[in-house]
Amino acid sequence: MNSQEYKIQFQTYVGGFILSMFLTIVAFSLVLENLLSGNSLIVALLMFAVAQAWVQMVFFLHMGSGAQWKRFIFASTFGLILIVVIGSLWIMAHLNYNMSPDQMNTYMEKSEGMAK
Amino acid sequence: METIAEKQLTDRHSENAEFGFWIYLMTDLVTFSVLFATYAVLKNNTFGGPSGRELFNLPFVLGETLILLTSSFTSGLAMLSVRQNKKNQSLAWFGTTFLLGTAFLVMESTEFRHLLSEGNGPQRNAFLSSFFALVGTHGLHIAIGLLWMCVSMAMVQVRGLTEAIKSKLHRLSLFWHFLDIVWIFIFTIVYLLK
Repeated sequence: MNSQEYKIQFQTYVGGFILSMFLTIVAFSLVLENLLSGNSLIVALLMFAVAQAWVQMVFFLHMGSGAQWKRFIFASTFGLILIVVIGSLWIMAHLNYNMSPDQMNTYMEKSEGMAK
Repeated sequence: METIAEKQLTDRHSENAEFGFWIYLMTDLVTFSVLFATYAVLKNNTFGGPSGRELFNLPFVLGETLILLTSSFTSGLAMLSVRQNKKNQSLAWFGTTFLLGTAFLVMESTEFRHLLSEGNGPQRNAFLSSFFALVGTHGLHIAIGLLWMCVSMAMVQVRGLTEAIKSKLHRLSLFWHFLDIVWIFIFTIVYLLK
């Protein structure tokens, strides 16, 4: 590694470090100062987390360059994760909705002949 | 001295090892995503107990996050010294990373002890069970990473920066950056979105 390459790599690491610190502190102050609320806060925080992960992957894990298989395996894993996380939240929210205590009691009274 | 054939063989080995290690990291990512999904489903099931809003001390957790981000940066600098064959400099940066990682782990166990001492352990409700499972699994990874870093530093000290050791150190730094990425999501989803 010559000194020119070293300089570029070093600047990449410093840039990534400053960016990740900045993103963390902005996300933190959004919550602390109550700048946003409800769904807009959730969306903003998730976007900050994704940006932060992107900074880590590009600046530190060098995923933008190098072998193609890295990106391929990551994309497949990412698909799997989306299915697991979104699928779980979706199914469990429906179960929760359809099996709320009131409905449960009605169901037990009607179908199972059990009074509350 | 290595012959050209040997050099090609170690390069090939190093590439295969990185491929295998990358697959491990991705399966570990799936493990964490399942724990995240569990947490997201159970986070409101507090069974009358306190919610995350009442339990977590945000500035303290911000401190933990900044320490871990810095340790990711210093492990990057350590790898930069490794690539330049600067043995002592790389040991110094890995040493710094190790200290920052230990500080993170100490802060996390302080938080856990505080929660446990107030009766808010994993047995209290589904929210706390999933919280301890997710954050505890990450902490366990950090602890294993610190042990690995210790062993690696000893190897560098004894054998020097050979090609085989450089390849091992490369995988260690991948692991460390990976844990940093997982923590960013824990910080956002568990602590900021409480």
